[in-house]
Amino acid sequence: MTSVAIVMRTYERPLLLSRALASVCRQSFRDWHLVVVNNGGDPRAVDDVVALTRLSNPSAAVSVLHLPDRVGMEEASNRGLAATDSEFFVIHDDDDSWHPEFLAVAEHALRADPTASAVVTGVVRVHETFRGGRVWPVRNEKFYLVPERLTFDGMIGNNTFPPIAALFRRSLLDSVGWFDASLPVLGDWEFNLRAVEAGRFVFVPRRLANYHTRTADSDVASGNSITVGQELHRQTKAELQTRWDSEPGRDGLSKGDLSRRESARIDADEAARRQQESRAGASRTLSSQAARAVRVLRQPRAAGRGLVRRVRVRVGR
Amino acid sequence: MTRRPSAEEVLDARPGVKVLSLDFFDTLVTRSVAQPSHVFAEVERWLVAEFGAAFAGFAQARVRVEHELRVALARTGSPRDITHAEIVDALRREMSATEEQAGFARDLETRVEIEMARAVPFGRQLAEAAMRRGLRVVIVSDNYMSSTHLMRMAHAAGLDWVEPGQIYVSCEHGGMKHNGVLWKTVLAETGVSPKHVVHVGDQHEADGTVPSKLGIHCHVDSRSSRWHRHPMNTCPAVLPFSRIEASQRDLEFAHEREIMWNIGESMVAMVAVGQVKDLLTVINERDIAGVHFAARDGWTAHSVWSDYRRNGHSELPEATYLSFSRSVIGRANITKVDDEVAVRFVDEHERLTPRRLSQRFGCDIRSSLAHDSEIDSATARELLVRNSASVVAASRKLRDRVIGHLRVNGLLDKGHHLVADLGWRASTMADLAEIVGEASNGDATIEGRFVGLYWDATMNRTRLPIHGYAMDDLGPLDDNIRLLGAVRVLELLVSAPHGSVVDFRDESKQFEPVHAGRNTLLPAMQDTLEAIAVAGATSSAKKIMLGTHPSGVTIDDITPASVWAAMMQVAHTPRHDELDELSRFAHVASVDHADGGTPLVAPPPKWASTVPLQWYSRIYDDTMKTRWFQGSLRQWERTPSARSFAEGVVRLWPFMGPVWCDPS
Repeated sequence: MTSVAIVMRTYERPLLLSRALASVCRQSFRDWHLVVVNNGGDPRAVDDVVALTRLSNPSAAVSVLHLPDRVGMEEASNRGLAATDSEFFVIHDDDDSWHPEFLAVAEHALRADPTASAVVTGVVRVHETFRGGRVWPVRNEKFYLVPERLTFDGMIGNNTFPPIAALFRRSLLDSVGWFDASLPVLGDWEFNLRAVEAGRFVFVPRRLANYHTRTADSDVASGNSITVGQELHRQTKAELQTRWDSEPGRDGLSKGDLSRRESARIDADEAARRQQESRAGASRTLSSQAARAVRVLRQPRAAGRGLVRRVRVRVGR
Repeated sequence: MTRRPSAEEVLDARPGVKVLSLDFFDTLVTRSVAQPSHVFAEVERWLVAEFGAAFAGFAQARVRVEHELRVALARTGSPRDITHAEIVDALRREMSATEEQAGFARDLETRVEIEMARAVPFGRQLAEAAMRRGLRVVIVSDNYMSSTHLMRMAHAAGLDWVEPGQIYVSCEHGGMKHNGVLWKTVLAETGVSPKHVVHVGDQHEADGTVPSKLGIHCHVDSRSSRWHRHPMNTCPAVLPFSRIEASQRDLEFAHEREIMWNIGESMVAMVAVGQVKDLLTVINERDIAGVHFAARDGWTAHSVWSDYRRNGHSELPEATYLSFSRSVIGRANITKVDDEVAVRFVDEHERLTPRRLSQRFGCDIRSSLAHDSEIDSATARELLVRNSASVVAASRKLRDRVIGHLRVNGLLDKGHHLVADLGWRASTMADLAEIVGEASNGDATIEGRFVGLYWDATMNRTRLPIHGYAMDDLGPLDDNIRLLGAVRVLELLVSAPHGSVVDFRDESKQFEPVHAGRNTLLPAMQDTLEAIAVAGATSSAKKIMLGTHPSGVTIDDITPASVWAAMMQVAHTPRHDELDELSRFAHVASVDHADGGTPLVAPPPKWASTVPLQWYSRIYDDTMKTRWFQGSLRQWERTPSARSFAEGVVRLWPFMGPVWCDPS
């Protein structure tokens, strides 16, 4: 039995798949088994990419599961998991990547804490553009994640981390069940909520997981489920909350109501934060105008440079 | 190069002096690393081993804390220096360390300082000459370390004559050289008049201007501190490069050395050993049909591999030096000429002639224009499309010669081959992989082993297996961009003593490569200086492999992180002397290597201080595409009229600031 099973779902994105495979193969921790679940896509394209990976990593335990027809994301995850046997597992989306130490650190942390059901590391969100068979990064963002967001209360309102950041104990599948194959999206969130009730999530602040998302001007086929299917996410979230209405939550509320309350609170917090930023921006604009006036008085040469700058913009030279 | 006065000459020039005063650090004693802060990198290495990853970043924190304490103290107007205890205390809070850990770090730093102490040859000569003449020798230092500790360091460096009574250190006397207070103490305690003292140090202000004002004779020699780079780039990965630089620094006291030789011996040698080590790791893990180094940047590594194999490692396969280039592989892969292909072979800014276009593609490009009339890139591309049939036919013939060359070198033999190259997008290697696959009917496969890859390499991962040793497209975004900004200078430095491969002879000549001749449009010294860097690199890399390098650096010290650090120290934060030297070079990017290229370092934009903010992006993009970005930026930072523009660039793209080392 291997230590870690890695399930990588893919559909018609060979370029991203090849990058994801490279991310797995360069892990310093070697006791893993990777199952690539080709979710109904062209088998030859997947086989070609995997064959290239094997050329440079002949000892890597990589197997491919071709699904004849496309199934839901969670069903694909379950099929991949069913094809493996391991102590721990992780879902590695085909567009994400890891720091070479991800598995080593996460496996060590999970093994060190038998009461934990999962380990979640810090995340870098990589905004990238994918167009015409070429992918390039636009900017990196430090994904906001704190230990409080890895508790039931912290997660009930919203999905707080991407799957790429989490290593789970496989015994969870027996105790809380598998991924809910009926969900088109947000299956990871629903699973996380069940998992965190079975055992705490350990947080490793080091940013070892890269969560890649495509910018709006990218080719549609390359998009994330989140950036492309926002309406589907809203709808599925509402359906889940309705389902949870019959389940007990906290503070005398059902799990569904608790989720709605926390979700609304998070939305309000977010709106307040945006408003604050916008006010700060306005005040910065005012103060920058004042600063310019002071500078003209104090440093006429600098003010002169500003004037030349504006003239250069006008004349374009 | 200007001749520097010897120790005897410095003393001869001041005949009446009775006291020789020496600055301590970088005048009398230095370390076995190139700059003082790198001692903390060694301490960090120990701390991480003892207490774990929580101490990663210790060295940078140590540098920052000391700086902040000095600034805070200076603001109070106090003439005294900070103490080691204050630094340790602040650092303990900064790193959330326990008292025990802080104590361990303090003692470790003290021990490492002593272990790393080395005498500065010129300082030692000065002291010995002064003692021979019966002069009194004192040591005057602005430092937080005690006189007892400095004495121990001096003894460890072989300067046994040093006694505590000779040492005046700022932290023990409530005043510093910088503010003149310590000088007054020295003069009072030695009881001599300032005109009877000659002071030698490395800092123009503290060792020159300030004591001169008091009437003390001064001599400033900055040969040791000249090697310092940005102090915040201090992490364990930088140590091997730093140790090599320190050995160069010490040798330079005996004789002046070419800057290009030094760069070759340090950074380029580490890159070459990194290439070799990467291949050694692979062939120890799996069956490989052949090992090949690609021209031109594999020249040094190939030489190093062959030398290592001859010296007791005959079990290693013989490696070939594979002559291919972006130019020949690209031209050998043309199956049609459309606008897209034409763009690949004619750069937007190129000015060509029909004759040069014909030479570039090895066929007759027909046009109504005179052979030597200048044409712009759009016209050249149009001509190519119109002459598609000739270009494709020439490509096919070239492809046959390329395949012949690959066959002669064993690359078409059945099995999996490793090809080492410098980088950066892997597209040329991917083209080569396709030629190899087709010519061998799939029997032979290749794998690209690169020093560095940036994000555009991702698209080639579906064409061949690739690996970036020091950096790859999966690395941090900031490092990806830093690599992109540095590729031109790296290509120039990691090179070969022959021109680019532009063609191959026919079968009767065993498909020998044809190299581009001396490019008369390039600066006259460029080839010579490139060859010097290659020679320095080859000699140094062989010593690293054999464990005989004077710095003590061995192949075990060469890691992906240390190679990256070496590349960044030169290509991201070059010293002023390196920048001046490299500013003389041009980089040739054209497919036929037949023009004068573009200077590596871009001049600042006109009236740089008045460049509108909205133009910054265009200047950034242009510099990134055609120049050595970091070299250009550092040069602008040094130019008074362009400094504010350079600061603006760093504000917009902070990862291009001088700090490349990010332990997080």
